[in-house]
This record gives sequence, C-alpha cells and structure tokens, in this order.
Amino acid sequence: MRRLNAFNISLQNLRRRPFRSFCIASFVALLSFVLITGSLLTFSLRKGMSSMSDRLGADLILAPIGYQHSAEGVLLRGEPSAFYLDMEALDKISGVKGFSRTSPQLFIATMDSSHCSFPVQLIGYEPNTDFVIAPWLLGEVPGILAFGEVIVGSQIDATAGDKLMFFSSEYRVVARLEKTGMGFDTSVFFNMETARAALKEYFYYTGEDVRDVERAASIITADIDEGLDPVAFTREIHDALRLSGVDVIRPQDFIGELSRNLNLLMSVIFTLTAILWLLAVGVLTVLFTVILNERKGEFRIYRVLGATVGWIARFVLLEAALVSLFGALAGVFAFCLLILPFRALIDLGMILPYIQPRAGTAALLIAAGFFMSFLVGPLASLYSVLRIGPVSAASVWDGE
Amino acid sequence: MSGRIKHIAAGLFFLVFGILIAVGPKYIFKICEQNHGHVTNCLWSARAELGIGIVIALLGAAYILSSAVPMLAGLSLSILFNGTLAFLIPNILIGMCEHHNMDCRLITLPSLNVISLLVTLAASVNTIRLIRKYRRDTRGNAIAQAERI
Repeated sequence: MRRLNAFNISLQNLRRRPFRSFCIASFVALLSFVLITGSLLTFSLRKGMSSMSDRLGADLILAPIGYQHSAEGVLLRGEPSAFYLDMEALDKISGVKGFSRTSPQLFIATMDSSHCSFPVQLIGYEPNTDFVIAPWLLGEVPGILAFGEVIVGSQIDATAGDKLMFFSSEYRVVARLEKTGMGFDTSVFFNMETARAALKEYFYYTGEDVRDVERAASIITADIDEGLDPVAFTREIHDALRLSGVDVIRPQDFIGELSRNLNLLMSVIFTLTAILWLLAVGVLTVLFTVILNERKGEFRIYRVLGATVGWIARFVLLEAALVSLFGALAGVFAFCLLILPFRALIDLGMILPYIQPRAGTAALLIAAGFFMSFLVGPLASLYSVLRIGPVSAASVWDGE
Repeated sequence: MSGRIKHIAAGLFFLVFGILIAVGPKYIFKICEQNHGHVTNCLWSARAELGIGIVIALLGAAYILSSAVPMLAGLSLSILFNGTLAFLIPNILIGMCEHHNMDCRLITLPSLNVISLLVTLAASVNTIRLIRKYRRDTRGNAIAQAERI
C-alpha cells in the first residue's frame, strides 16, 4: 500500500483530474519546447555570424560588374557560380595605388549532378599572396597545397586520402574543414595552379572561354593601406575603375547588413520567448488561484486530519512542481523527437550562417530551457500559496 | 478516457504508424532517387520497411478487432518486436547510403527513427499496462472464486 505522504497525494490528485493536469502540463511543454528550440537557434546563428566575420577578412572585393550577388552567394551560401574578370580590368586593378595587398580567387561551378544532393563550388586561391582563406585553411593542413591536392568543406562527403573527381580529373583530399556556417562548407579548395587546370576542363565541357586562362580570376581580394578611409577609398577606386567592368564590394557591407538582419531575427525570437514565458507564469497564476479557491474545502479536511498550514503550502507547491516537471520533460522529449533527428536537414536548409553547438553546449542549453520552464509552475503557484493563509480546522464544522 | 476508447485509440495509432512506416520511404519522406541502374542501400531498407510496416498496420487492425486482454497483450508485444525491427533495419541491419548528405540520411532515416521509436515506446507501455491488467483481473477472479467456494 502506498504511504499517505504529500508526494503520493499530489500524484493521486493529478491523476484524479487528468484533463486539468494534461492542459497545464501541455502549456509548460510548449514553453519548454519553444525555449529550447529558440535558444539553440539563437546560439547557432550567433556562432555562424561570428565565424563568418572572422573569416571574411578582406577590406575590399573586386568582382566583375553585375556579379556582386553571385560573389556574395559563393562566399556566404556556397551557391555555385563561375564568372571572370576581364584582362584589362586586371591590368587596371594592378595599377591602382592604395592597396597594401591583393590576391586573386578563381570560382568554378560544378555541373548539376543527380549524384550530388547539393551543388559544389570549386575555389582556387593563390597560396603565396592569399590572406583571406589561407590563414585559417592552413591551420588544417601542414604546408601548402600541392598540385592535384584539395581541401574540402565540412559538408562534402570525403575524408583525407579520398579521391574526388571533378570534370575528368581526380584530386586527392588532404583535409576536411570544420563547419564555418557559410558557403565554404560546400566548397572545395585548390591552389591556383590546380584550379586553372580544372578551369580548362570546365571550359571544355561548357564551351565558355576567357582570353588568358593562365591569368584568369573571378574576384580579387584586397586590403588597403593603413590610414586610408575605406569608404572614401572605395568611392575613389569606383571612379578609377569606371568603365573597366569592375565592381567594388565591401564585405563589411554585406556582413553588416546580414548581421543587422540576424540581430533583428534574434531579438524577435528572444522577445517572443520572453513574452511566452511571462504569459505562461501569468496564465498559470490565474489558473492556480482559481483551482485553489475551489479546493479550500479539501485543505480544511487536511487541517482536520492534523496537517499544518506549512504542510498544505508545501503540498500545493509540490503539486505545481510535479505538473510543471512532467510538462518540461514532455517539452524536452518533443524537442528530442522533432528537432534533434532533423538537425542535419535544418543545418543544410539554412541559408543563414548557422553553426550548431557541440553536444556539451547543446546539453547545457537544453538543461537551461528545461529548468526555466520547470520554474513556471512553482512560481505561478507561489501567489496562491501565499494567499492560502491560516486555514481554520474549526471552519469545517461551521458548515463552510 | 474509457477503456473502449483507449483500446481503439491504441489500435488506430499502430495502424496509422504502420502505414507510415510502410509507405513513408516511398511517398512521404522519400529515399534517394535511383539513377543509372545503380541501386543503393536505402532502396533495400525501404522495401524491408514496407513489409514490416504492413505487418504493424495489420497487427494494429487486429488489435482494434480483438477484445480479450491476453490476445491484446500478445498483439502489442508483436508490435513492439516489429517496431524494434523497423528501427534496426535502416540503422544497423541494412543501413542507408554512406554519404551523410544524401536525402535518405537527411529525411528518411530520422523520420523512420522517430516513427519506429514512437511505435516501440507506445507498444512497450501498452504491453506492460495490459499484462498488469491481466494479472489484476486474474487475481480478482481467483479471489471471487475463492469467496464463492
């Protein structure tokens, strides 16, 4: 036989009123689910944004006119593109004063293939001059990439030692990058020599051509001399390169715009979650007050049976904590069932910079969401508990 | 919830989820497209799931039509074993495509895992509930019989 203590009586009470308990627990479960999902989403977006700011380090990007969005697409989202600067433009760029360092990059788009679940962007860079990709790329591999060697992004299914085939040549994978949350995750990196060899094959298959494959480049990344005002300098070289078919892009502009949009999105998520939490506390406070008013007779019987006012208060708090606990656990369960198994799909489908936390951090966020939603029940019942006041056992006999 | 409604709800749950396991990989959360005559693992997994899903759905239908508690417990236990098999096939026994970015790994596998785990979990809880009910009923009958004697 079960002992007649506060815990068992609370459990029996919850079971006796299944619909009421179910409604309160569902409300807490919804809160728990939203809190956990919202915090993981916000964390992942923030991490993705900071990774992107760290890795797009050039002051300026020079791209063919009309290809600004394509260049952004390659760098931010890995959307395959192939475009090339005119040779005259390259000559003009090399004549501009004010650049402290410049380095070309070459973009080659792979063909559509039914074997690939997403398209792959090939990126060639010049190891001797590059200052954007190489610093963090070389952290992954010892030495400089040799001819025929490639480094693959985190979403490319290949590991070091694998062979990958693009067009009609095979390339050896020497390293795989960690997730960056941007276009680099679906990109493959070559040194410029390898990239130009691949470009020849690309031209062979597509029928496109540029005048001088050996000097071909898609964008030029550039840093400007110290002391120069980036905005004024950008305007200056806009004028200098007018009519040469070159567009000047400031990565900070598109990072800044994206960052503003992301901050707005995160503020909306945070505000909605906070409103939901406050709403939950408010609604449950009203609910518990009404329920406890209905149960005054029950409390008087407890008093007659010898329960103290403190015991009744603890009993009410325990009941609220229990229903809140079941709700919060249900929320975590729903998250584990609906979000966790599909994290790879969410990751791949996100067009925003998005890096999911590691298991430890994710567990901490889940625990925090669970705890915050669990708190709602006891907090909401606190007001009603304080209002119980001294319940007189004698009032039972007064016919109340 | 009355016992009859609980009984029909459980049966319907198994029936619907059995159908989902059977036809999901083919029509809802689809496996990878099979091209160039090359057949991938996920196709074989989907075929096996079709068979297991149909069995679970039929067991669910039988569950709705039955009423004896020992029979229901037996059906529920078979659903539990089939649910476990539905989970093991794409994960261990046959598997899916090797590459983690393929459709079958991104969509089909997590969907099948969620459904088969739900079926297994529900069948476990249901089986335990029915066995306890059966024991309680048998004990009650034995006491009533003893009192009559």
